[in-house]
Amino acid sequence: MTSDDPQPTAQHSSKNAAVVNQQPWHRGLLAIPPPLKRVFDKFPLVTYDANELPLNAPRQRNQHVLHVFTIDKDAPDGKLSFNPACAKWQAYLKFNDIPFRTVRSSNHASPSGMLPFLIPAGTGAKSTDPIPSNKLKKWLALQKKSTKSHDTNDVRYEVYMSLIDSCIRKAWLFQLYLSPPNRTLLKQLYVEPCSSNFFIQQTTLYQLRQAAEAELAKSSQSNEVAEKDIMRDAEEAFEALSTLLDEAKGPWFAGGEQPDLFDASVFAYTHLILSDALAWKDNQLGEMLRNHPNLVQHQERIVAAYF
Amino acid sequence: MHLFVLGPAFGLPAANAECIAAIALLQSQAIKDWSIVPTSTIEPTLPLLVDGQQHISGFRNIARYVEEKLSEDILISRPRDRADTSAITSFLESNAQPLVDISLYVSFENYRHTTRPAFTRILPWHANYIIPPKLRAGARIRTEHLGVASIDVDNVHEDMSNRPEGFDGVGKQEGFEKQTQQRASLLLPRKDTLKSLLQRPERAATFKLHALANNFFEALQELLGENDYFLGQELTSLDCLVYGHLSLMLYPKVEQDWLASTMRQKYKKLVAYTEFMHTKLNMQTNVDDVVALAKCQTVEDVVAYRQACGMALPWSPPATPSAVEIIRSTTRAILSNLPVMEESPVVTMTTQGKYAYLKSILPLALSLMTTAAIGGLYYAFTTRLLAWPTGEQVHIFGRKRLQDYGDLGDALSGLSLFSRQANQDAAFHAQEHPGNPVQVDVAIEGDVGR
Repeated sequence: MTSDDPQPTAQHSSKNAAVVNQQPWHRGLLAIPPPLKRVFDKFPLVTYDANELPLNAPRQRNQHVLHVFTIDKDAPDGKLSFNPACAKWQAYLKFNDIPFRTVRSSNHASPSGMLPFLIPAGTGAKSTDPIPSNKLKKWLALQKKSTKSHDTNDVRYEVYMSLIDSCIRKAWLFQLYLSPPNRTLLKQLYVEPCSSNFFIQQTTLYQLRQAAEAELAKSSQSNEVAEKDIMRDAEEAFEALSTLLDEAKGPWFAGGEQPDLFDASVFAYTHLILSDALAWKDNQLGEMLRNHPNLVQHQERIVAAYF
Repeated sequence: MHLFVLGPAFGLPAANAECIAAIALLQSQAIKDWSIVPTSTIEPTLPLLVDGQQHISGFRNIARYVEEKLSEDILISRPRDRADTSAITSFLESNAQPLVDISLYVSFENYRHTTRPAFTRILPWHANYIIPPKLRAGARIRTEHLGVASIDVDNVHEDMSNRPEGFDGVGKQEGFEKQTQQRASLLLPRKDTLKSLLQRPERAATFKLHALANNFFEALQELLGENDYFLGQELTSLDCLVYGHLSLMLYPKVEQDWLASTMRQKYKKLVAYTEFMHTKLNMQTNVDDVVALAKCQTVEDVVAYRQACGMALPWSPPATPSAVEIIRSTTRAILSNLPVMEESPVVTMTTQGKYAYLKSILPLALSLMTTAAIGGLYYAFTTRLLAWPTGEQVHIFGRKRLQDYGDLGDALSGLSLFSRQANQDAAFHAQEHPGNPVQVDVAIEGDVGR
């Protein structure tokens, strides 16, 4: 029944239309009224192109992309980030001859909440999970079958690394975040890229400084830390690093042919402190560093060779 | 020279690594006329060395000061040794401190059974409510990034909220029987299976903790090598600091002694080193003897008591805070628990910023302003200085005649008498309502009005 049902109905209805010139009521409701139809007939049917991808969507997937803190105009030519943690990995990737692109990013974009992170190249089915900074070294080791840069596993370097991670980092936090003359610099680097609203800027600035203070006071038992203690510790740290570099057998800390991660970590701080990239108003760390010519030369050597 | 420390505790002369280190340093350098004063406040940073007019706090500063003061051959002279000293110092700070924190403060079982009672013995009662919780909070902040919070079973609510649904309820979905079984098994003596042992919160984090501990001990043992001391054959301030941290890991008798047992099992050289330093510097301390010193009245009494007990360290009676001091610290502790008044960490600068003072009073000023604003509004409404918009107080119904509209209405009604319509109207109303229009007081609330 179902198979031959439509035909008779169609015939029937066409006959009806011809005779009575009347359509079923529902079709009459849905049909376009003739005057409007005439208007629409004049327009051609346009099919629009597919929307473009959002501006911040990843494009060149054939390149590794390192997400760092940076000011917008720096991003394309891969200039060093103003954040020491990011600059360290940028430098380390360059030491290892791994081509990459830098993209301006913020903490909120990172899966681990920390910058830098790297999105490896690869399209389609190849998985491109982002690699947080603490796994970058392992990833790099996988990338390079021929381990050109040998990282020393000497305990001494591990111990000296804690100098950079605690003493120098603390002094850096103080100089950038808390030193009153550097307020404008801090605003320029971390606050203004976030928002142009005055109130939001003030709040962000306040929060940043609070966080820095909390970080500095964390290791002390009471709630107070003195600037002169922080700076004195940093001075001793630079002295120790300078001694370590003197004892090294080559131009680099580890004594190898090439700089390694330790050099990158030292360089990240010394470069940002010494170079003109940042407009320091108060640069106590710079004055300390200039007392150790070999650290300054170390920084210059890396700039000359890799940047 | 007086050295103020927080202690004694756990059979050691102090309860934190830097204090122990400072005592060890002064003890090792054969300084005359110094005494240790147990104190019950942690402000300013302990250990605090008071030498005449000078107040020096923190172990690093004390070590520098002692070094300058003696300026003899104990000085670490070679640049390489100086470098090693500062490197190992910061290595200890960033690796040993978290381990001690976890072992003594973050781990709730250890805190409850060892740390807290140790403080109860030495602190006056009011400080017991302030100092240990504060130290514990500090330890938790310092170890937050390590992600071992699960050994801290004290914080039940926080823990539960972070768990995804069904995380801890493996048995729960399996219906009633399983649950009853579990309940019933609670009544029976507990049988530890391997699985249940591993599932206990303190065990779950164990793997991570062992990794942390091994990282630290291995590096330290390698640095020590075959030497007697860390920088060769001489005892230096660095050794005191290392001893300070290691002794706090080794000696306290805690329930979950993963730290001490790891050290004893695998790092015998470090244990031997710690025990050697412990006996060499005579650091064994009887807490009760030191507390009993408070009864001594005169200096001679103290000296006699020290000899009677055979104390190797120059203990003096605990510092007793004045009433004003007690009230001040207690008030501060209470205030700091209020939401707006909580103490934020302070970094004192050598050059004060322009707005330092303003910033310090900002929270107070903001809270005062808010309170004043709310109070002022309330006052204004209760005294009817401001009125809540509820519409007119008097409503007149039946406004039909011109006379009802005040003086002008009267005048106009005189004019309108000429019109018949108005006349009829007036007559009609006069019939119905002889007299003035009815005035009704109606209080209308909300938007029912008009």
